[in-house]
Amino acid sequence: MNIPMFKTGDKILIVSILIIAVFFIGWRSFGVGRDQQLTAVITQNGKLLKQINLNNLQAAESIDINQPLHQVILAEKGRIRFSESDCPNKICVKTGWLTKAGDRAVCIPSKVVISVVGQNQKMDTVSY
Amino acid sequence: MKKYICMLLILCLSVLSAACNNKLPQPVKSEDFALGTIIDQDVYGANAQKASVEVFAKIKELDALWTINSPGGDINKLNDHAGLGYVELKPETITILNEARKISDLSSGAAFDITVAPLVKAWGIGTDHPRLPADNVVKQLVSLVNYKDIIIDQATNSAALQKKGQMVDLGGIAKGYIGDIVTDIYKKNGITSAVANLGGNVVVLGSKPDGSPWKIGIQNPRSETSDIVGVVEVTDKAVVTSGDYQRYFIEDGKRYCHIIDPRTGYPIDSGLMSVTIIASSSADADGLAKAIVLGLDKGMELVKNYGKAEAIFITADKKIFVTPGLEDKFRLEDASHEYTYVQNGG
Repeated sequence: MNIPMFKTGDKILIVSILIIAVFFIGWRSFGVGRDQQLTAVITQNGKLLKQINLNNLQAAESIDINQPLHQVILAEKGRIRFSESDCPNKICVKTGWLTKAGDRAVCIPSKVVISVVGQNQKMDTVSY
Repeated sequence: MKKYICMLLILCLSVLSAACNNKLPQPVKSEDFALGTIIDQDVYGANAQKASVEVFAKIKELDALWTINSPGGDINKLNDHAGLGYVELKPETITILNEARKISDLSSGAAFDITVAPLVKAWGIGTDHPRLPADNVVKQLVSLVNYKDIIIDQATNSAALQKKGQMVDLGGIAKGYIGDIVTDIYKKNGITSAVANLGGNVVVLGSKPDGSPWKIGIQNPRSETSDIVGVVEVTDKAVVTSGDYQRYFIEDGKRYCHIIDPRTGYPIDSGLMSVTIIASSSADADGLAKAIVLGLDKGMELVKNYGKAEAIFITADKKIFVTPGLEDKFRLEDASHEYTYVQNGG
């Protein structure tokens, strides 16, 4: 079918704009979600100690905390945890591996918090 | 025809810009430690920074006033004076004592009683060395538990505990009560969208900036990690959970949790692992969450009698009961696949 009112240039323009639009929407809806960036944020008393991109981590990394007590944080590709702590109840160590956006481990005695942030968080916060 | 092409172009461009421009306003995020726990805030709006700072300052001020874990403060003053007549306290302390009495009245002291402190102390709850006290000690201390023995003289901002040895611990209500103060501070600063988490007690103001409700995860009571069993969607509400898992110890194979039944003096064993209350008043929600002491049937009855709250009860056999008003707002999200959702729990 040929619509004489459209010139070839017009048709090319319309089709290319449509293709770009479809591509963009597709990229926004699926692309970002699938290739989610996971970042671990380590704070002490509300101050940033370290930020680690867990997706790009090639070798395991260990972070020592010495004040006010001794703790070790272990980061591997896609996950992070408190691996050792001298605090009394060791709730931070028992929390285990943090693997997804929104996961968090807290040590109240040392005021150290590991939070994993990224897009696609299923919830805003947790009631416990 | 050029007109149609122009219209098509504009249409495509607007679709394109909608696809790119869906960036939402970013909250001011902050965390701090007080009330023996971690406190988080996500606050939106022009005064977000100022309001967040104000919130932390107020929480720390009230913590110092009400804690029994460090010297000084109004509650220690009241406890030290037990059986010796009135002591003058700060107006804020009188207000929370009045509120605590009201909340205790909801269950006639069966679920919640702020004078349970002598037992909390005897069990070593909140210390690094929890212990099993002798039966006769428990029996003697239970006789001291009665919130009606807190006498308040509003005119002079004074309060008294009638019997020697009686003690008040606001631990079971302070976080909830302060939750309401936090939302008041937000409102005073013109904030319309915020969420604060006070060691598991959540308060939300308004909805999210995009107009959608806040999504609050409900902790899996038997997961050491931060796993949840479900998500509840709320706007302008407090979401408060009482669980048997926050602090517990095991002796001779028996698990003892940190919540003491004010009537028996022993840690609760009610067949419930957690109770979550969703209500407009954070203080009331905190008080009602103590329905965990009463068990499923009596606990649900307490919520029903209160009339302005919704609830999620999780039983020891891993069933989740939800009040009718929550059925379209609660969603099971249980990665462990161990929990069963029972509809029409109320």
